[in-house]
Amino acid sequence: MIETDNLSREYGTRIALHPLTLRVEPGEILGFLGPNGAGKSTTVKLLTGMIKPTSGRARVAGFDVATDPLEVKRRIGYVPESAALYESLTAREFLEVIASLYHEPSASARHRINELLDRFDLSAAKDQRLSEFSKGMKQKVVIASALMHRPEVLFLDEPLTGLDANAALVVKELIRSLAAQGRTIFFCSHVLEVVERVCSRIVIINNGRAIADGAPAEIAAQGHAASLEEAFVALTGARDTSQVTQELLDALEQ
Amino acid sequence: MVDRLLAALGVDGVQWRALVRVYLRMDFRARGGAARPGQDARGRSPLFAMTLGTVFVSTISR
Repeated sequence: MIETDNLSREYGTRIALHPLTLRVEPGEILGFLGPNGAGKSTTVKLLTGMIKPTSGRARVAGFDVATDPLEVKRRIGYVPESAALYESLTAREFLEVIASLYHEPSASARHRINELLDRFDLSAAKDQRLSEFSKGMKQKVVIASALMHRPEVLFLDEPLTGLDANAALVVKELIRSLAAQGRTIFFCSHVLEVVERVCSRIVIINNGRAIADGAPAEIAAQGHAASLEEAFVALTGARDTSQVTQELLDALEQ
Repeated sequence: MVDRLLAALGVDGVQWRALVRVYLRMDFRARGGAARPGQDARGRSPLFAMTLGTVFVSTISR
């Protein structure tokens, strides 16, 4: 479970996140949507204990992020938007390090690593260095490492980046299965179609404020729109796309 | 003793060992050059090469 109570964050005079009160139940897949710079990654960093809030509180998996950060970290998996990997290690070695960091006994870690590599179709490449991996293969390793310790709560920040269609399907199905097991999924993405298909509930954030909360159909209704995409554009106040496109074309011709 | 020292510093001994192992491994590999597909990384360890070289030189210099 994820609970926030007036959680906020300021960077100097800029407010990255206005007080946010939110509750995500076990088994729920929350899609956290917003334009670039809206405060999505700041929220994830606050919830994972990577940065401290300016005010308010957050509880993840039953523990306060500020007072029990290690207990929180033991229970969460995190797929960041741009993950750094130890590229001179092989996929197997990298996952062994992750297993060690989570205190997995080596016998069960070996079994778990083989299982994850197999699920992500990486068994044949497990002894290749990560520097030789494609972007999609590296992303699979990042997702596998987030699942290594069977987290109760999973934070996914653009998890499908770089994945081919087959791998993306596997990950989407995996997310649904993990939620069905009672795990809480916090899913950040710019890709509205994916969020609409995967998430049971959506929160839209804009300029650091949560401006909509509900099922995809409810959000569309809130934005007086026929689809989530139209509602997103209406709610976030994005400029008319055809006008922006024309302005860009005009600029190229000058 | 190391464990006691680490614990006193609030450092997790298991994690510390895992990270030291991985950084040493990466350090040796970085100096060993880029890896080719299918190449055995352990065979190119500079430490391994240095040890073999030392044994060889000390043997022929007798």
